[in-house]
Amino acid sequence: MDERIITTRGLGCQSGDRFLLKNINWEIEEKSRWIILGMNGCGKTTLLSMLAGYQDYTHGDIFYRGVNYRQQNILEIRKKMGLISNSYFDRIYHNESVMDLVLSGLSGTLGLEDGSISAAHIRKLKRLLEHVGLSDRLDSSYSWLSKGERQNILILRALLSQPEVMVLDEPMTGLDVVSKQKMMRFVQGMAEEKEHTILYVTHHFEEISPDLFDKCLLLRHGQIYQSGVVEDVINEEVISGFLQKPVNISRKKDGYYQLEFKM
Amino acid sequence: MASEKSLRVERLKKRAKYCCCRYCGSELHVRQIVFHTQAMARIELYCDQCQKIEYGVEKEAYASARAFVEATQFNHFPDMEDNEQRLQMNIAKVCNITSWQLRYLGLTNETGLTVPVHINEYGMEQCTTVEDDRLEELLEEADRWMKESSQQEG
Repeated sequence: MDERIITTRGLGCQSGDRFLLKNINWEIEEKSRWIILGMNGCGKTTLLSMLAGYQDYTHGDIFYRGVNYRQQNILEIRKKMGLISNSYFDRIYHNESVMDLVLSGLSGTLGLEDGSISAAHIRKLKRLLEHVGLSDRLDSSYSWLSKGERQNILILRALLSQPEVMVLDEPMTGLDVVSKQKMMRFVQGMAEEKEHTILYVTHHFEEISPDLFDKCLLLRHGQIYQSGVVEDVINEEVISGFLQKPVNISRKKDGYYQLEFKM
Repeated sequence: MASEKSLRVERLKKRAKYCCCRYCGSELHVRQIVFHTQAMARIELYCDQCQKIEYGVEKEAYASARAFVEATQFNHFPDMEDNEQRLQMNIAKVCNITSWQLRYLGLTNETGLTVPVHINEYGMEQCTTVEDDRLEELLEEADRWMKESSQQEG
C-alpha cells in the first residue's frame, strides 16, 4: 500500500503574471510530522490552503492517497484535512456564529449544512466548547472573539470531522503567553500521539523541536528551497543559505531550537 | 462527482427561495465565497444584510420565531444590551429550536416544508394578550401578595 498520504507534482499557483507558488514537488508520508518554514509572503498559507482543499491551483496536481484532487469530491477532502489557519479564515468569517462555523467542519463547507445539525453533533459541539472553556460563546460572532478564542474555535472546527491530516498555519501568531502555552501543549500532545499527519507552518525556530517533528520543508519565493529530515535541514549551513545571513543554531534545554544571527 | 457538485448547487439555489436569514429575515443569495474551480467548494448561501454565510431557515419558521420573541419578550442573552442585535440573536436562537423541531416531527426536509401551513397570528395574540387595565390589577395583586408574604416571614 502507498504510504504517501499527499503528493504534489509540479504544483503552482499563478495570479496575473506572478507565481505565488511554483513547481512544488512534495511527498508527505502518512503520520509524518512536517515543519514548513518560510518568511512572510513566501506562499506558506497559499500552499496549505491548496492542500486542505480551500484554494484552487493553476498548475500541477495534488493527490490524496494516490487519487487526484480533481477527480474527488473536494468537500470530502476538506473533511480529511483539519485546517487551522487564522490568516485564511479571518478573510472568510466575520459575523458567522461560533456554532455555525464549527459545525461547518463536519460538511467541509464554510457555512452550516443540512446534515450537520443533528442532536448528536450539537451535543458533541457543546462538550467540546465546555472543554476549552468557551461554552458561553456558542452564539457569538467570530469577529467578537479574541485571537486565542478564534484559534480554539478553529481547532474544534478542524477536529470535529476527525481528520487524518492536521494543517496548522502559524498557530502561535498573535497569541498571549497563556494561550501560546496552551497551543504549545496541544501541538505537543498531537505530535506525541502520532495519530495524525501534521503540517505545521511557522517562521519561528523557537517553535521547532526535532523531538516533535520528523521532517522540514523550507519555502522561499514560492518554491521549495530544501526538504528532508529536520536535523538535515535545520543546521547552520542550510539555514544561513536560506536566510542569506550567517546564523548560529543551538538547542535549548527543552529541546527547541534557538536561532541567532552572527554579528 | 459532476452530479454531486450540481446537486449541491441546485439544492442551495432552491433553499435560497424558500428560506430566509435566521437573524434578520432577509432574502438569501447563492454566493461564490472563495475562488475554486469546483463550484461545490465555492458556493454558499449568504445574507447580504448581515454580511455573513447563512444557511437560513424556512420563511414560515422565521415568522413564527419572530412572533414568539416579540410576543413573549423571550431573551436568551440577558447580559446583552437591549438592541436590534439582541433581538436578532434571540430570533435566530428560536429559529434553531423551531427548525430542529420541525425536522424532528417530519414537517420539513431538505426541500423545505412537507405540509402546507397557515400562520395563525391572531389566534396566537389572543392567547397571550392581557388587556392593559387588567394588567394594572394583576400588578397590584402581585404587590399585595409580596407585602403579605414579607410580613409573614417577618
